[in-house]
Amino acid sequence: MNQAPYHAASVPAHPCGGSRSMRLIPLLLLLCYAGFLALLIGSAFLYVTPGDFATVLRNPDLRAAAWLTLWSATLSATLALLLAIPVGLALSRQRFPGRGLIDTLVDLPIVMPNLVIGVFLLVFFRTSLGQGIQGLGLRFVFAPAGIVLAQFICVAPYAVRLMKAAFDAVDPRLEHVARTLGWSAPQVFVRVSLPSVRGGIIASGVIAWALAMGLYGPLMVFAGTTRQRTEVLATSVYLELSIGRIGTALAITLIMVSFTMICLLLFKRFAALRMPRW
Amino acid sequence: MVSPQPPRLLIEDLGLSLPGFSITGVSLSLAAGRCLVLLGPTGCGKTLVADMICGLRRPQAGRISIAGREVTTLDPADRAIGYVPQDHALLPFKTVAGNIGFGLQARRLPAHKIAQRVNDMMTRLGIAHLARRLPAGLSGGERQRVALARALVTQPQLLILDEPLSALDEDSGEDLIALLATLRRELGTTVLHICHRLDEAFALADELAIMRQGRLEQIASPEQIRAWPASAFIARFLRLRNLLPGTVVETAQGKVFRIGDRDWLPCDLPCGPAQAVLPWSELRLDPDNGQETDDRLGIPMRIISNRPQDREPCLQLDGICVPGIFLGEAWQAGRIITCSLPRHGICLLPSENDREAS
Repeated sequence: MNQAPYHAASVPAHPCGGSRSMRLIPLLLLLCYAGFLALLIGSAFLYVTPGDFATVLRNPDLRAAAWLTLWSATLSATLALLLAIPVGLALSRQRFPGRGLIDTLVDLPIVMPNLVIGVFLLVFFRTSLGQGIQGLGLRFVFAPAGIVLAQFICVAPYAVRLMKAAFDAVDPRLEHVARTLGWSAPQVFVRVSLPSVRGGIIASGVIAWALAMGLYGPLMVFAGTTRQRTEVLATSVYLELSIGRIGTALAITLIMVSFTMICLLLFKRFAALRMPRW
Repeated sequence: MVSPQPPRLLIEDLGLSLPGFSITGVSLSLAAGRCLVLLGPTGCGKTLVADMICGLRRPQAGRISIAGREVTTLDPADRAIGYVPQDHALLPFKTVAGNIGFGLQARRLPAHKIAQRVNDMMTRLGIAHLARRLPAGLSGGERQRVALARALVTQPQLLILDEPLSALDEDSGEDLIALLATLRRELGTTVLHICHRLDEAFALADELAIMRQGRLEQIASPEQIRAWPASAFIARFLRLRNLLPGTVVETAQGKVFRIGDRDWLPCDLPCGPAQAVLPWSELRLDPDNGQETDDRLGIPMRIISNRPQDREPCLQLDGICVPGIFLGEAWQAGRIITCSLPRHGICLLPSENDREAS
């Protein structure tokens, strides 16, 4: 299994006769784009002093917010992925009446301003059904569980969409052949379908997690901004900005961005090592 | 007394109805060690039949038995079949050896046994050097061999090949035909081979089943089908060149098959256009032997061309071409020659209006 990646081994990098500009223009645009993003983030340092970083790192409220951000985003991305795999499979493979409508409904949270999702959640939990759910012992409104719920609602549609696209690209004949080779349907799912959509799983997980890390609109509406309880880093940035402490806000942002970037880099490296690419 | 061995594959009255297409009354039987080629134009339902035999689609009517065991509703995993689909369907994330051993893994064999059987099969198919490669880097012919090895290594009761040559160029196609023949000889595998190409079908078939619009038109040996096609569709689909058009007319002696103004044979086809399939191997052209007798029909025909320099010498008679015959310099174009054919060897077919196979 420790194979050289296929694309490196057998796809020639530069076919003959291609015009140089076809390679150079996209590359140039990519460099410009990445450079602009780096500049954008770098320019934040103009307004941040080392003291700001020290304040942020020493503040117990912000340390709590960082910890809450990390575990809530990880949990909601995991839940979104666990939902997206079967739901994406169903959307990709099953044909049933009303499929088009359901497919669009699943996409709806993407097009709604996500602040509205917070409002919807708040309203829902005031209905008798919502109150009943709260009565079961798990509190969502103005509670950490509400953060996870709101993040989950906002990021799951992206994960579902990516998983559907991933399953669309898998030839069902792979699964059919595996069945004739002696594997049962659940075994085929684990041994053929899931490895086939590995790229989709990674992409869904990364997108869901990254989106959840930066979400704050619906969280403020639905879960509130109680210090040390329901405050996430993105909320802290908003709160610091609203009282004019730009330095602190930017320091939080930079810490968050660096952490997220390191996590994504590690994750991608880990995912690339696990199995040969194809 | 020992009861005779059940057929390796027995299909009885298989039926499936889909929106816009249906398969009806497909029945066939295949003895162990034989190769049946299911031949038909694209879209005639061949792959659906294969899917039902594999258990990937449940038939709405009929029964399927493999090696005497009814499998109609069994899981594909329990049918003891090997299946090579059209596009090979190799697992892209497994190496060649991993792909081939995948079916053995399902049978929970110990790793060293799997490795041994995979190696044996790779050596047999000449792909041992590819063992650690991934499918994406392989050529069409190599993938085909891997898919074949993966299906054969589980020692299936029945090997189902769905258009295995369709993705290959001509040379690799010929290599694979030779390889399939060798494998069948060595392993005694029973094969159901699906294809739409005539050369492939005739090169491999012990028996030929011709399908059209969801029905089986004829099952017989290739020689039999060539000599006695069951319908004008089959004659046209097989591009038989030994066809002579004529008409069936009612006379005082009953119905006869007539070409031009000459009555050929009595027959019981409906009146109207019809055609005769002429058994060339039985044709005699010698002017002295070409006479009409009780069991041979004499047919005078004009020589259109008779050229020895053609790559495949060909005698052209009115409207038809007789392959592989050169008469000698004396027989110039324009002369009339009488040839004779056995009366019982001439197959008459009613003409059809549809042009599906043309």
